[in-house]
Amino acid sequence: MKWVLFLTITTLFIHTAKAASHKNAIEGLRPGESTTAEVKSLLGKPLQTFSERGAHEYLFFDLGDGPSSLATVSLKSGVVEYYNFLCEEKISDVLKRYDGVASQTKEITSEVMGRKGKLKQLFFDSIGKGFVYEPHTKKIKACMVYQKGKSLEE
Amino acid sequence: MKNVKIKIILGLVLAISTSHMAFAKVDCDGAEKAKCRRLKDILSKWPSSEIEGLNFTIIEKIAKSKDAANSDENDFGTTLQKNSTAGKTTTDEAAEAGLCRYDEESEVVEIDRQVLEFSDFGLSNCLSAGIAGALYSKVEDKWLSKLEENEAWVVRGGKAVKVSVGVGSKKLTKLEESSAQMLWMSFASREFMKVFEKNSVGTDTQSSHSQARSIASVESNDELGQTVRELAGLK
Repeated sequence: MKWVLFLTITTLFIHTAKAASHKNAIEGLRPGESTTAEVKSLLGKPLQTFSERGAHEYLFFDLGDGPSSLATVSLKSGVVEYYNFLCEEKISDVLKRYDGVASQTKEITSEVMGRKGKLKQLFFDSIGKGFVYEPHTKKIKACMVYQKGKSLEE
Repeated sequence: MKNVKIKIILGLVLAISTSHMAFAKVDCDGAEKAKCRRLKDILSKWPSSEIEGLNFTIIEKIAKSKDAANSDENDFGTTLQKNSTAGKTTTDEAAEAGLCRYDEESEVVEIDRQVLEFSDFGLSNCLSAGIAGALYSKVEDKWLSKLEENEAWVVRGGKAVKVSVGVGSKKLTKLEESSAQMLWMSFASREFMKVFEKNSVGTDTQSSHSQARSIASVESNDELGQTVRELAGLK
């Protein structure tokens, strides 16, 4: 019985440590510099890969963010353009931390039968960071990292 | 004297517990009293546990959002498949057109004023869609994992867009327009209609009842239907 408990706790610990190390690993990527090979060496095999026209590739990784959330690494011609993941930040802390940094706010509205949703997006181009959050709950849904001084316009 | 004290204490307990119970709230916003009463009567056909905490409000006209109006052609260059309208009633279409919808930002189920003119069946069908929409935010994670779908974010036109990444899927789909959400709305609306029908006895015209019965007769004992019922908290 003690062994079962020991094994369960150890397995849980390994899983948590693995997810945390992957989260730290993704933050080691450098947009505009890191290559596809570096991404795979840091994060392992992606769960899913999509290629698009214009040598654009998306790699999706399961970092243990939640039952259905994946981290995205977008590559253009084999170099990281941006990446995003579910970070554990509060939008109020972000606003405090980057107080005075020029930002752009965007809004996206979605609507299907019976449901209308709105998400706000805050981009700090000078530091290459963006945050997607729910305006009503202030909960961050995605943290984006891209090249400093560049915008994410396509 | 003792009896009076007990009655006062019981009264206080009842008042406090009632004020803490989260029943559905309805803002009729100037609608005729009779129509408002009918709306409340229809809402009362759903057990309070299923719609507790939800707010409903009547608004003059539900406007389609700008982003949504452009959503027939998605950012990924593919045209979304339109559902066939064959065999659907006007009230089905009203629900699908979003005449009752949950607004995530205000956390309110909006009801287009024109829906108050519908039959009980039409109104409840429309409300079912709004209630299903309200539940979706709460169940999305679990629903996606049941369907083996994952959500992720990609940038389109300078904005981050939530996409669905299905296992083995060959293309990215905007999550707001994904089959996962459509499937939820369609199953959950039907399940809420079945609850409404079960709890309605002799409150509407015969034709409406036969329509409701035809919905209720559609068996959804499959795994997906069961999942929807579990996630929606329906018995």
